[in-house]
Amino acid sequence: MYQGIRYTLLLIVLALLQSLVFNQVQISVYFNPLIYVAFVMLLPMRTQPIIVLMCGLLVGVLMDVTMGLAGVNTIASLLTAYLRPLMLRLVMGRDNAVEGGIPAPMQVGVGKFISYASVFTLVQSVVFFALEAMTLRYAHLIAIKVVLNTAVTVALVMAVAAFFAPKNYNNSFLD
Amino acid sequence: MGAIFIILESLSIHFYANSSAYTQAKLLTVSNAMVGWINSTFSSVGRYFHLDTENHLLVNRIAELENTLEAYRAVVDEYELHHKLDTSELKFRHTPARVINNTVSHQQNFITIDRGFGDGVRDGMAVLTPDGCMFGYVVSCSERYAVCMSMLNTEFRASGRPTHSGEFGSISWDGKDRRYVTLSEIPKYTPIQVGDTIVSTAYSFYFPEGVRIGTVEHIANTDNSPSSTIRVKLSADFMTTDKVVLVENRDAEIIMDLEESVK
Repeated sequence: MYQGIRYTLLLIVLALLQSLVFNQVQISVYFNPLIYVAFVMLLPMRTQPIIVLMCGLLVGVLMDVTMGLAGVNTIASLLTAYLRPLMLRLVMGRDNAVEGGIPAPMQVGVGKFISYASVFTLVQSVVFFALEAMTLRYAHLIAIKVVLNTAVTVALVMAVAAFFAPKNYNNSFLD
Repeated sequence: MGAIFIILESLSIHFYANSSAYTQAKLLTVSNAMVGWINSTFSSVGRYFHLDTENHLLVNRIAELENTLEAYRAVVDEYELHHKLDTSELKFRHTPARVINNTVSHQQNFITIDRGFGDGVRDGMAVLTPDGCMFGYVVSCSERYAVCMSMLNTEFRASGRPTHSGEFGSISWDGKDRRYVTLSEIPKYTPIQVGDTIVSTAYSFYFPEGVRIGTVEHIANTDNSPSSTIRVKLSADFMTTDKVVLVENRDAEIIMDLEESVK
């Protein structure tokens, strides 16, 4: 119950940050961080894959409606949600992934978290920016966007994770 | 698990593949109907930072219009001696609106304004900046809000020509730089130079003739093509514009019906 409320609040905060802050910051056509990926990324590691997939669907549809992108966020979020268990096993190791807890920097280590967040965001960004462009004519432009926004998003997700699961947070409580 | 993923992903891809800029505008219209007031509140705060520039622009525009009006008044006075002037007969109707959401960082950018069909806004109305530059056109309306296709949308199309020539080409955005659009398919023999002004043509369904689009920045000619590709620096500033003017072509429906009847 407590866990559900925390993640519902996280989803609301991330949706508001994405639509009211990051979608409004018009620095450049290259700048478009996808902070909402933190919702699926920070789900407890032992969460059932089907729940993760449904969370991906939820955040994807929500973002598609607020950004006016017909399916782009949903396609990308479903894919990252589906691949998340594999990413966790590859980066965190099979034992850690099965043990559970939130995959946040203070809980799994900054290095492992950056690797996990980078792979996760990279997959999301490649699909998102390729589909958003609707053409591969400007592949170099898409590549620049993917690299730049993956870096910015990972930094932002680190900040969100630090608030959401601080150092003294009882990780096992969530399982 | 894999099967559920494939089903959900296939449905999403199907929806995406069958979508267009209009689908996206419809989605934004739904979103605005639900949370339009949030965007409206935030844009009200942001607007205070542009008041100085905006006032300067408006004062200049008013002065320009006063001069034009003065010239017309003389003609109208003369005309009214014989006829009663009726503004409801004018071909174009202008409505002011506030921009409550405007993106420039996507490939398909849209503008949300605080006027909907309850205020007389209709799909297809032209959206211009207060100083009369091309900005976009309305693609979807709710009761209180409307979503417009920005010129900074890779699906945006309009026709443009140099002010001094009748030769025209197609205006589009390549998604790279928010300050420039491309004027393509303009015949090579068209006399055109860097710095020339590009305006809308009379063939546009959305825009009145002569609406300023921008100025020529660069002209590219290739030997094996009969036409030139011109880089046009936009006159409208998409970063700071927060007020727009909607222009309705009152004859649009009649023209469309007529064209449909001969197809």
